[in-house]
Amino acid sequence: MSLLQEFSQFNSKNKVSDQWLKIRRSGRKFFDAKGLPTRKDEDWKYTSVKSLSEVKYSLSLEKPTLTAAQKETLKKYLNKGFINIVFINGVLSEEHSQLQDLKKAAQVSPLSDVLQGKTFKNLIATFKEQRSLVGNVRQDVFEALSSAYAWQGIVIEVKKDSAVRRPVQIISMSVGAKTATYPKNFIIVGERSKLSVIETFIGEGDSQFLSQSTEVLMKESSRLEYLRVQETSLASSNVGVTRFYLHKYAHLESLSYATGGLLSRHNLEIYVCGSEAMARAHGLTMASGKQHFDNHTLIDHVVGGSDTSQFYKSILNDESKSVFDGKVMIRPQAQKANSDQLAKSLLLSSRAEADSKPNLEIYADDVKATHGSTVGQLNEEEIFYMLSRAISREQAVEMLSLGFVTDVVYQISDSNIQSWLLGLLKSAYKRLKH
Amino acid sequence: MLEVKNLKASIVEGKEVLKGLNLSVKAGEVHAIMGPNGSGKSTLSKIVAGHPSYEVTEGEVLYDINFKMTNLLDLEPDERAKEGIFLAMQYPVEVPGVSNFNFLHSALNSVLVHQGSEELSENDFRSFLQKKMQLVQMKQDFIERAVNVGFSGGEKKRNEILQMAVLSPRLAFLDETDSGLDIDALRIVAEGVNKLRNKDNAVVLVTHYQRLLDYIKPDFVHVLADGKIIETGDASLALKLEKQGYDWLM
Repeated sequence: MSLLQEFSQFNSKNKVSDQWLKIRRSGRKFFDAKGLPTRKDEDWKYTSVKSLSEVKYSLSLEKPTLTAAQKETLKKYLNKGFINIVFINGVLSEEHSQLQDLKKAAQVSPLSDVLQGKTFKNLIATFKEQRSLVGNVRQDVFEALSSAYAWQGIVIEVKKDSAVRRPVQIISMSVGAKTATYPKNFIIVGERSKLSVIETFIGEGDSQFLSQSTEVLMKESSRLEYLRVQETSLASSNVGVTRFYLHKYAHLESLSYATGGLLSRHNLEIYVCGSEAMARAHGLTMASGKQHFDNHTLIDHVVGGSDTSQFYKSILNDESKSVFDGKVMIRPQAQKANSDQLAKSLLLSSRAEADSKPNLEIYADDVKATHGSTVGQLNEEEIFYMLSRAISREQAVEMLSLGFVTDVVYQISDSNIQSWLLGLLKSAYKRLKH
Repeated sequence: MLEVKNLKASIVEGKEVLKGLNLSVKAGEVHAIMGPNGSGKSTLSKIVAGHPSYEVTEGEVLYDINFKMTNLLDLEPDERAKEGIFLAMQYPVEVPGVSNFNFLHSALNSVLVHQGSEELSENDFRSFLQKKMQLVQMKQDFIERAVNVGFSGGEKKRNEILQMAVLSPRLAFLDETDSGLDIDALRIVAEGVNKLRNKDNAVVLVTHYQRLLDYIKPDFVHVLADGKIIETGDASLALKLEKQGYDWLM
């Protein structure tokens, strides 16, 4: 079963301008030529996506009526302190979205409008320029697939010298069995501007498929907090790529948070294109059952004098598995670059597995780069200490497990996001211990 | 309140440490257990608290629960704590990722629920904790810090006494709480313990040195050597040990 079988029908139904049509077609061509990756591909060594060829997914671009339970699920994520933008099965849900609240500090447009040539006419050129700045951007088959099916998504450009005060949350919700969704977002943070954005992926239904792609341009002295919250239905498969271009003095804090889905893969790519830029990438995974999470990161220091760090943590129960593959590239001219990387996993079961693969490619000689990884279990002395203070074993394990990962949450400066995420984390832990 | 009868215990898959120990503690009393290194002092406190590294091979530890002497060894460590057993540890454990506030709040609520009382809300607990913190002169920033992480030796020991103050146990074992304390910290800790003493609870001080007993006056002093209590006396015994060592007893 090919994931592309609906392409012709989709393409003629959702018409786009010529230049976007070219992008769709080249995405289709790339995916057709390469096909699904196998474990023989170095980048997919630990993760099999074979199951994706066994299900007949269908693209749903019609807005369904939500059941009471689905409304409840959505409500859990909508936060009054955020500016929410909600897509349900690929369709913008006006009733849940507050696009107009963004308009003071930013220009914002649904991707479908951009694709029809109504707004953001320079978008392709803008990101093409970024790609050419860094040379060879990694080509990924799923991103190509997302390009072929480009329609759902949002484009946000924060004007220069502006701040969007409330966090912007872009929710992509899938409902119904075997639905496929391809959210594609573009974010541009102007010079000296500030934004917090959360991409949230949720769903209800069996065997769903999600392929997300996001590109972010951070101009000089901009500041961005980026969160990717993946809590899709437990029977779903999802892949995604988030790519950042950082210019001079830009400061990025990113968190890839994932607790949902049976099979999940996220590629995070950060291209440091300006000196004195800073990027801190965090990850938080909580897995149980047979869940499989794969985080691939690439931090490419195109220029030097920049500071990046990665800190990925996972808690694994039952037979779940997590993969962290962190690539750091420091190019020959990128002197005085700093890069740290640390992956830590906590195993709550002897059958769980954590694989960690640092991958450093350093071509400059005056740099600092560290990497490390640990896999461990809860410390019995800590548990006894808590027991001796009347705390039950169950509660002690919960407090210690959450304590293992909450420092990642505290990296986010927005207190509203922090407490919202801590709430999600607690419910995710309850699911983990069922 | 506590009856230890002919207690024999070993380190799990290791050598025998307690070789027939007897001890009786009544409400309102303060006992001091002294003795040379390796005599089994810490083992006794850990067995009472339920540490998994030791196994009891003979004897019993009876403890008064609702006017009934119950075998403490049948209870899980957290159940013992809920019944009012407390161990101030010689080496308090660092618990990264768990704040003192959460730790103490959860601990107290467990006890309250066990006693059939309502849990304390965060706000109520915060003001309750303030009062207890004054008792051991704990700084404000301590509340949000992770339990014992980055604490000095003295802070860790004071934190143990603070936990004791929060939980108000009926029977507290203080395992070398005085070691590693300078004179000011020792006074703070001792005053904290004295303020917590009353006719319904009991304290067992495990110590190497007589100096703690200048501040907390014991009713009984026991000498533990080679896994048994070999001598029991009043406070003057500690002074004698300070001057003459343990050799005259062995």
